[in-house]
Amino acid sequence: MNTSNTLSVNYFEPDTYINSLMDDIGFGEATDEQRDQMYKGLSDQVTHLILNAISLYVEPEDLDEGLIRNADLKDLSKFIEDLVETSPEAQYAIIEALDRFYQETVETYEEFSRL
Amino acid sequence: MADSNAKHPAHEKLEGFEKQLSTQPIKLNELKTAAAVLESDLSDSLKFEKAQEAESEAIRAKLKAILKLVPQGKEAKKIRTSVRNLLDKIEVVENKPEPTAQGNSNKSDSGSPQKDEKAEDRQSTEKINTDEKLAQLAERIAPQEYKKWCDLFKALNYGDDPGQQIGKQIKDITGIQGRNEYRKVKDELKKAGFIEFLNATSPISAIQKISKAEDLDEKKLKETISKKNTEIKGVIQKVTTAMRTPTAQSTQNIQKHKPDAQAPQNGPSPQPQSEIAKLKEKAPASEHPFYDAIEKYTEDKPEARDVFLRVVELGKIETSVVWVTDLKERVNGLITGTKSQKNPEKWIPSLLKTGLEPLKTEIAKALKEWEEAEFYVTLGLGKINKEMNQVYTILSIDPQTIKDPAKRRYFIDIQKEVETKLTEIKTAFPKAEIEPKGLKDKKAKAQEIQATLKGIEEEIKYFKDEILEELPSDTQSVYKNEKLVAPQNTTNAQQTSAPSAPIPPVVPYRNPRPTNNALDDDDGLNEPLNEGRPNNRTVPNTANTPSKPQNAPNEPERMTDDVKKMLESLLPKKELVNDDSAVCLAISKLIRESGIDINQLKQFLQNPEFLNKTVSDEAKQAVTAEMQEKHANSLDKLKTALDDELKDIEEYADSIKGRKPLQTEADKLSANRERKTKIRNMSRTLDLMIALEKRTMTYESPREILALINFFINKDKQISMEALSEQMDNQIGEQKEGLYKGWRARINQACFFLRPTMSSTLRAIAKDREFKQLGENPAAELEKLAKIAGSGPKLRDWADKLPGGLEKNIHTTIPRVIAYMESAIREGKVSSMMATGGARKLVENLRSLQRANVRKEVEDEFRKDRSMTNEQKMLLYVTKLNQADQSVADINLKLIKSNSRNTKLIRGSALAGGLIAPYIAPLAAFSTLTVPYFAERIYKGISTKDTPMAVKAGARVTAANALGIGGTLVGGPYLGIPLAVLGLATPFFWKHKKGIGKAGLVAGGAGLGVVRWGASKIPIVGRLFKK
Repeated sequence: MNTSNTLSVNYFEPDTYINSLMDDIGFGEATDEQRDQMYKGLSDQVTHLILNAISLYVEPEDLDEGLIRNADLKDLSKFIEDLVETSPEAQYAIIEALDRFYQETVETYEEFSRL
Repeated sequence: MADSNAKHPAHEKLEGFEKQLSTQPIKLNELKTAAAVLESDLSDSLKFEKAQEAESEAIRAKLKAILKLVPQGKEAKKIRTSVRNLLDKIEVVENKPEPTAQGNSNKSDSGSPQKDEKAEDRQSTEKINTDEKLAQLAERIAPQEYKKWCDLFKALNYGDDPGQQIGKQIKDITGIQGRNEYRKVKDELKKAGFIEFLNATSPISAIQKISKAEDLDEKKLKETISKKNTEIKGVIQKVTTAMRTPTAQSTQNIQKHKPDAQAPQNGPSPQPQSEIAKLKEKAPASEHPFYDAIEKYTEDKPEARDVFLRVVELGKIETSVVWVTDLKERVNGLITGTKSQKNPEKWIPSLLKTGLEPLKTEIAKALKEWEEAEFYVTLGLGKINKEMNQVYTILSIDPQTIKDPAKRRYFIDIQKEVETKLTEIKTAFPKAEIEPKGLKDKKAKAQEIQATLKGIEEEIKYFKDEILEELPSDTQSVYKNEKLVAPQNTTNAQQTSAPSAPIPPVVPYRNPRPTNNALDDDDGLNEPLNEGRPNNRTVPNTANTPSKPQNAPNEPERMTDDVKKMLESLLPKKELVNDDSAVCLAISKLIRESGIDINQLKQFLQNPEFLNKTVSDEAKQAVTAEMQEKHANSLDKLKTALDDELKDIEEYADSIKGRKPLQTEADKLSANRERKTKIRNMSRTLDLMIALEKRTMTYESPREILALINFFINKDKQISMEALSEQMDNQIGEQKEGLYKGWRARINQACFFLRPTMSSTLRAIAKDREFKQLGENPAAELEKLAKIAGSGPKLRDWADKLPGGLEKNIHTTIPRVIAYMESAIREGKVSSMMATGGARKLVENLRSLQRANVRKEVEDEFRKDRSMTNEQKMLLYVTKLNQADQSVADINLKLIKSNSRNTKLIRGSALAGGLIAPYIAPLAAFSTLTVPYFAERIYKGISTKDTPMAVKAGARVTAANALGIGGTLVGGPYLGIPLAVLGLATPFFWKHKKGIGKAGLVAGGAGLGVVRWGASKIPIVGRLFKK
């Protein structure tokens, strides 16, 4: 399965991604409470996936440079944005991780539903 | 059914059948039955009245479409026959429908369509009428020609069925033999303007399209048909003759003896056939059935045969390109019956039909990918080879030239380690040539190599930008453009004195071109890299590029042959002249920069006439007035006097030795010390002058020559000898620095090859007491991971075999390994050639092992509690996923915390790796940035123990901390921020991820993929790669 087909968006929007995934794993009709819970759980996962990909794929040298540019680290989001922008590897790793997660989750759902 | 507006009943049935045909998987038996039923159902209902001709044409078109859908092969022959029979049964009867039930209903409807159509569509009615008239006319005026026309039309239009053979009828009517001829004829007809004839749905509409409607004149129509018939026949004749000419003999034979439609291919096929035979001969006997099968089933499909030959060819180039082997295995399995499908007759033709196009695409793709991957591997290996050449220079240096014993020992150890590493590398790249086991391996290798090269570039960049900044500015200029390699003579030495370490051959490029030029290649691979890293210099490449002009400014100093010869002729020992001698290099530089004529200089050095007043005066000033008087103009006597004085001074010092000197004595001693230095200097100069005076030109060291050259150059300037001496020291010092630089670069290179591998990192990690539960030798357990990092199932096996099995370890060992490896990756500790990619893969696979386990756990839960809804299952799943991540995160956090205090843990664990000699270990353990720094200290003989932690390493740790905390504290304070950020940062990539991924596969790495791909899309390049 390809997320780009499923999502039909041109760029990554966390909200769209999570909502679409929730629809695909049978949360379209779920109660609000369940949806909230799932949304939180999924956004935890997504955050984790993204940051993990960055931390593994941004080269240590780029980390150094990024740090020099954002020495105070006051704005962590800017720092991360900086890192993502300078590292194609990390970008691709993020995309791959998100795709994989989407696919695995849907597969899991399908398997669970069968059992 | 009886409704006049309703479609002919055949339509519904045909549509049903068509649907059945296009349903996958094809069930031939059911289809056969369905076809038989269809035939019997419809065969009587296909007679149409004139008014229904349009309808009949529609049904004919439908049948033709169906015929194309029917699978190839003998199995489906019956279906094809049924469909063809139906096609033949379509008939337009002149107002005399058969009195069958269907016919009756047709007949009863016959009046109404015209009325309805009149109201509906007058034009089409008119058209039908015209067609009718035309057909009638044609049949009447030219029965012969019209029949021929119809036959020709049928032959050429219905011959395009996917059956195995061209129908006998077609052959009889047109003389066309074989599908090749048939296709060619059609092509030619199209070219000759018969496209309408070929596109028409019936002979009549073909006439109608060719002749004009107003051509209803009898004579004209007859002429037209006859003319067109002749023309078409002419085209056929031309094509068949042309195609048969080269093999006229065989064709004739076939025609004579085998007038069978299944006659083997004519024209271009014999060649592939012999190709197959050739291949078969070369192939092992076990593969013969494979070739037989191809030969048999591609007999009249030269195109398919072509494809297979290319497949085989691909297999020749790379037997383990997975799908080729797979294909071969499948065919072999089918033939030998080891696979469940035993019937190649069934499988191969269907592959030929359904798989031909995809197969062709696959092959083209594979070929392209193959070429590209190979190119990158070659490119990478070419570069690596050059790197290796440089390492060989390290090996080729004689340690005895290093005087400091500590440094020498260090160097010898470096050499040993480099040798070990080289063996490793050579094992990985036998003879540094590619002998990959598969395309996949190649890609992985290309990826590794590219990553490595990037590392090297970064290192060089750092070296140039950072270290050089720290040097005094006047020396910087010398090294700014310095190549990070040994001076030239070591390169030469390497060629002569290192037979034990042969230089690996540089793998030739597919398109031979120098590495640097490859950057400009239109594939755009490196352009953005250049753009983005303007300061980067390409990997040094001295071993293979001709040395630059010697006199170019800012080049590291090298002795020219002239200078070398001259020095050798002047000095008693040849060994004194070498490129590692700072004095020699200083001489060379002085000569080069002053621009003096070397012959003139040589003459002067052999017969100096410089004993001018200045020098001797200065010499005299150095001695006491008393001495001056005493020794007058005799340099010899002056020298003796100085020697005596020196003797006195030493004797005086000896006399006081062993007791505390009195104040006066101390003063005298101090004065004497100064005097001693002066006397020594003076004495040396006098020696020289005496020697020169006597013209016994024997220089004892290059230093003397340097002094004389300085004299010579400055003889007209009033420069004191002391100043000259200082100048000389500077000249030598500068060259020393240069040599040292070269050394450091070489050490740097060595360090690169000495960085820890994945195994050593895993061994180091295993020293942590966290892994005690793995038994007596946790290192051995963890080290296994290095080999199976890429395989999920093998990792699973590994986990199962651990003490306590997967269940015990999934919440302990595995998260720990993940956390430690991630930490090592983040810190750049696993940066050897093979390791980083592998480490990432290991982490990824271990994480998916975790996820699989989570899935299983949830399953167990809901098997116990059957009342769980799907939503609850999924919620449990995601919660557990987060928990699993959290357990990794906790360990990560611990690591990060201890790293914040000092970077001891990871670094320590790498240190403890025990892979290499103790004083190399720090080098190996430290990341790229710190390596040169430490190499420098080691070279200088400064203990690394007292060295404060690397300046830069601190920064790295902090950055990793920030990320690590963010990445590990799931649901922590940073939740949401990165998501929003990524929304901004990645739109482009998200949008084009497919293209990037594809390019990445070919280029061997996502990063490169992005770069390659991005290069062709100009707007992005600037934004992304220009910082």
